[in-house]
Amino acid sequence: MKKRAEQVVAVSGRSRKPMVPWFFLAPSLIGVVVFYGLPFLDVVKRSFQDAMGTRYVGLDNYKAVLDNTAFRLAAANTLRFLLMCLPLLMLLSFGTALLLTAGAARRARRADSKGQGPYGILRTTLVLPMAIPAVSMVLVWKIFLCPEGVLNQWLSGVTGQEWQVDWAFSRWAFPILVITYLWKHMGYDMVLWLAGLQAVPGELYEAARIDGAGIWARLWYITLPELRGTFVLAGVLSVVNSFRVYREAYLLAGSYPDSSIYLLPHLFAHWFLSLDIQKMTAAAVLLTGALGVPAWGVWLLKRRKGGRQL
Amino acid sequence: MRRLFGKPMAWLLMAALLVGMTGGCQKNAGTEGDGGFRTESGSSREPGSQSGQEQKTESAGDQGQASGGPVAMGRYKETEIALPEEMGTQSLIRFLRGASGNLEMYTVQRDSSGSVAEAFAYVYKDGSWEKQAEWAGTQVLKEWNLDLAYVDYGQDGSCYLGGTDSKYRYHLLRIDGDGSAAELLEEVFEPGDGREYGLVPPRFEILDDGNILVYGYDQVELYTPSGTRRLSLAKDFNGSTSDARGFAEGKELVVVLEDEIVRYDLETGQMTGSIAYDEVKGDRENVELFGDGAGGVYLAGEAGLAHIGQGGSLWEILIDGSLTHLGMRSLYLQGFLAGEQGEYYGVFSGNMGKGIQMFCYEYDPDLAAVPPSVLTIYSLEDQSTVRQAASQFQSDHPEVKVEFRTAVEKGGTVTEEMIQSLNTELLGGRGADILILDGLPAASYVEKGVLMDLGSLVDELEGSGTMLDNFLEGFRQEDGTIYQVPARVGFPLLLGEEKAVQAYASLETMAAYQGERPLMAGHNYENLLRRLAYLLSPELFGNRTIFEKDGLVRYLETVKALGDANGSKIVFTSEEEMERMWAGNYVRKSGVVGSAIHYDNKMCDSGLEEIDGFGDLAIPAQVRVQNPQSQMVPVGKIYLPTAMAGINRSTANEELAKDFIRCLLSVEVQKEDLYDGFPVNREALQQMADQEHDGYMVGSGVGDYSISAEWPAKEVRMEAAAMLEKLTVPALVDETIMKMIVEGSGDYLDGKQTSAQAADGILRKLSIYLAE
Repeated sequence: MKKRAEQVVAVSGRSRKPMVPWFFLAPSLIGVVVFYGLPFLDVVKRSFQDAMGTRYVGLDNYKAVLDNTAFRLAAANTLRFLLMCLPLLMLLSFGTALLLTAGAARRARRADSKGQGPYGILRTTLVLPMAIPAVSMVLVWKIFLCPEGVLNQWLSGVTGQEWQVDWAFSRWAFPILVITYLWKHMGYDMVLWLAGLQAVPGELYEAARIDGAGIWARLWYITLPELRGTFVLAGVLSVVNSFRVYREAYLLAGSYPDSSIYLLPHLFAHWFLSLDIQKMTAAAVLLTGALGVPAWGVWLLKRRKGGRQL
Repeated sequence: MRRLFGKPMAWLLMAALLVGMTGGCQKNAGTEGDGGFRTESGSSREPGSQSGQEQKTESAGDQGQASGGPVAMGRYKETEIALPEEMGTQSLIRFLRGASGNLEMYTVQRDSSGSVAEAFAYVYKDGSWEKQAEWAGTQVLKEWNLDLAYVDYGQDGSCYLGGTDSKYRYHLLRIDGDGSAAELLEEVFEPGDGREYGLVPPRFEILDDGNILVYGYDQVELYTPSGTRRLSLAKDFNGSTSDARGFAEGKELVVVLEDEIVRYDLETGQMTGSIAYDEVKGDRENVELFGDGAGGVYLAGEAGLAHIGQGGSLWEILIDGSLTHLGMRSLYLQGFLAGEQGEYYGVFSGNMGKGIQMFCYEYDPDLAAVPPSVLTIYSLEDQSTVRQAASQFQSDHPEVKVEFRTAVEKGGTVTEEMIQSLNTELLGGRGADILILDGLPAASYVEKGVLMDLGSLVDELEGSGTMLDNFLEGFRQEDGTIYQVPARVGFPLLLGEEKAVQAYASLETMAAYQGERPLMAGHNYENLLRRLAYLLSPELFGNRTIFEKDGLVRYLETVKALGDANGSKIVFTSEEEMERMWAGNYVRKSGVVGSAIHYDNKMCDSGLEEIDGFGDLAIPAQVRVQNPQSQMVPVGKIYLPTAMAGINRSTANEELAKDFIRCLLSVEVQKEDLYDGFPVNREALQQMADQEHDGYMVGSGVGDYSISAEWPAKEVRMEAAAMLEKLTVPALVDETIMKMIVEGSGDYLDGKQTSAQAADGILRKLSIYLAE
């Protein structure tokens, strides 16, 4: 009888342990399932149906989307934007975070210094664009870039010729959007890197210094490995944020901008407007696959290598 | 203890959290489907507090309301009160409660010149109206040779008359007991120094203390009977010289100021309070304000009858305008009064002030507060004819509540989000039963199967022989199906000599035109771009000419050539606007801005007008009289359809929806001239063409040039009706493409780019749009 009671306790002890985190996760998990998971299943279903969901059409919608030149253009532009912006954003924000951390540490070592001085101001300046509403930001850009704008006036003054380029609708539209994105999001990524850098134990750097490691060695062998988790987090968030750049593109150049900044969200908005829900759902599933498969691959790789959990 | 309660508590908390999270997702019958819409349903769910309200549990028995649930009962029932037949040709001057407490009506009969020929008084007794043959005012008006303008009673029972003499000077008279008249405030209405006319007030009011309130255009003045001005109080001027919104009660004056209802203390002249009334006034400015005798305010208007108590902040809607004639666009509210038994009376006039109608509103506790069945109509913008049809349908089907939802208020801007919001509803299998497709992606809706095939309904209507088939057939697909029908049409009318008229045949002939003057009047370039796109829509859009570079370049170059010749610009300065006879910066969707006067003033070889009613023919017809060598013809076979109605395929009210379309195209609705287009019903068109409007006069002029015209002669009206029967091509222009062309051609039209560069830029966007 006593043995049986011990078994019961052992079983209940085993089963209780993994249940606890689920209690805490449940509210957000339910929210994700109800508000994202289930609607996405409906999206998948609709991607095999006609626009009004009255009949199944097999893979016709996927074929139509892949044959659609507007989709191909938007997907290519979006990919180009990601490939250009992501490395730039990560590098710039990481470099800035490193400089700020090093500068702030050097200042802290000086006996007479108070607070973070110019480094604090610089950090605030870089984070400030995050707090500016997109509409206000775009308005400023428009004042700067319109045919009668500041940039044209400055160029006219410098060159002695009249400049009246509508930069937002010219071949410069893509670089302008990239700069807008970097300016807006660099501060955010920098904060992530700063948090990551502060979490690196100082003893590691101290021990490395005693062992004679130089600045590059410390960066390569301590900082970068310790920031692997931050790298994944910053990367994922930057990809997500890159899709939000549509707001800036739309406000800057309207529904049909220069073809170089015609992005997937433009296309999705137009499809929704014309009730092309069948194309929209098929494209959404394709996009989820295109983003989800690499992310899943990274996650698997990380698990295999026993990387730190985020 | 923790083991005992910990787990159940955790589950309990989880359950509470889940209930809390999902609670917000519950359906709310009152708000479902209203997201993003402005609903004109009003709220007779809370009927008159005077009458109370009952709650009965009974089945609604219809799909429009959840069956078996509690149904709010009690609503004001509208009943028409018969008026003497002769009132059909009279104009109403005043509807009021007389000194004896009876309802009274004062009317005039006008002659063909619009002057008052005779005035009449009627009293409502024992459920019928009696003409007062002995009314002293008739004699007084004759003696003073006045056109009656207003009537009121003083506290002592004396009748006061206001009217204008042959010199258009206003006189305020008090009729004494012996039938004699005494003039009051004579100096007040005298013309000021250097002025030809004095004040002609739309209204005056005799206060209990004998003082007189005179309503001016933007102020109300308080005078003693001897003519001493005591107060001058500001009020809004709504643009109409007959605006007389307001009333005095006790020591308080209630008027509209800065779009709010304000109260003034008539002893101190101080403003004592204000009430916002946007939510209850509807889209039309003419509302009636009257007091409840206890400091509260009643407001009657298109949205219905609303009441707010003294010091209150919430309007109570007693009568839903959309359920009654208050919401009918062909009627103009002329007076509204509270009865003695809790009932209300409303008096309306028809078009041009004729055709008086009266309705009584009595509370009926056995009527469902909201009709059990609901038919919803969605439109991006307000449409007078659709609103008229909704009221007519409501009147014909008391068991149905017609909800007319519009996405934007009057003068608002339609945004893509509004269409997306509608699309979300349509995708969910909901959405309005009837869709008014103006501004909506109709072609896409047809392609996606959102709309119901109206083929059999159109066949039935055409079979009756009453419809102008040419307008309905313009929307029939190749397979015989038809998904949308226009409720109104307009058309571009061309004035000019034969050579100029023939130039409108194609892009090529327009570009090749060589005349003494420019082919058409100048305006801003967007109007010019739009004008050509609409007038030549079969060539440009039907044949896809502007989807190719060569065609687009030719189109842009033609616009530029025409614009260079007539002095068009992207934007005009205000001085230029006057110089060029209103060649302004405003844009019309069709680009056809009236230019008959430009033609008449020898500024161009042809004039164009968009004709949306017989009244619009007055100036062009007069121009033709003054230029006998000119022709007056439509442009090709082009017409401009509006109020395009379709039925949502997922409607649960298919038969009701079809009935509504029948109502929309019926003679009763179509015969009303609501200034939004011609009827598509032949009989209604004939009735409209037969109407004469005595005293109608329009004029126009700039600088030394001026023109005036009367209501077009019957021959002209018949000529236009004959033109309408021959129009077979709806001008259908894709607004997204039009926007691209306007945006992309600015630099070329301004001389900063070549036509090829502009076309390349437009085509880059166009190709994406077409590929989508």
